[in-house]
Amino acid sequence: MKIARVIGRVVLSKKDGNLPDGFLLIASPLCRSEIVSGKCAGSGVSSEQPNLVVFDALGARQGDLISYVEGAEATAPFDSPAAVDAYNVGIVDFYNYNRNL
Amino acid sequence: MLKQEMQIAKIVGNMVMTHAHSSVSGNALFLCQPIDENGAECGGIIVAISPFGGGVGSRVLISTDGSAAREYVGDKHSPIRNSAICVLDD
Repeated sequence: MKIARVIGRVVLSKKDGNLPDGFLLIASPLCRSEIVSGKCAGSGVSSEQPNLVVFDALGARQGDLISYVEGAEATAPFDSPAAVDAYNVGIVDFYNYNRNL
Repeated sequence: MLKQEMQIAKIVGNMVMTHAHSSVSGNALFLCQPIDENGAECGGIIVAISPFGGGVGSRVLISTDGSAAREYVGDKHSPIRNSAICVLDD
């Protein structure tokens, strides 16, 4: 599970039957320096990692911090096989980074 | 490519999510920083559950096996992937 910032949304007019119903968010993963400094990428895209589209069933808004999971575990919450690569596990309220560890 | 192996990591913080998947409630979420053999940080921060008592400041072994994490959580529909499966002594 990694932390990312929601920077946009994707709306599909037509979709594959295997894609379950829900929101699709554009998320920009936070690199370590952003998490450490707490100065997360509010608006722009500053981390080196590419943005990704995350399936979301919780209703995260733009600017929220979410924690997403990739791979086979992204399809675990669905009963039927789902064409989902990244799943939004939860909306992060806050996190503590202990600097002197 | 997703990393599929176990990593030594140190737990550097924790995270709170009130609005999350139902299987996450009741499990503490920790920010884990993968480290190599002489303690230097390598790789990005991973969020993992720690069912075996690893707390902030302890060094743990992070596994990316989702089926093990689903067993610890007790929900076969849980999207949790990383879990701290043991706490290193030294």
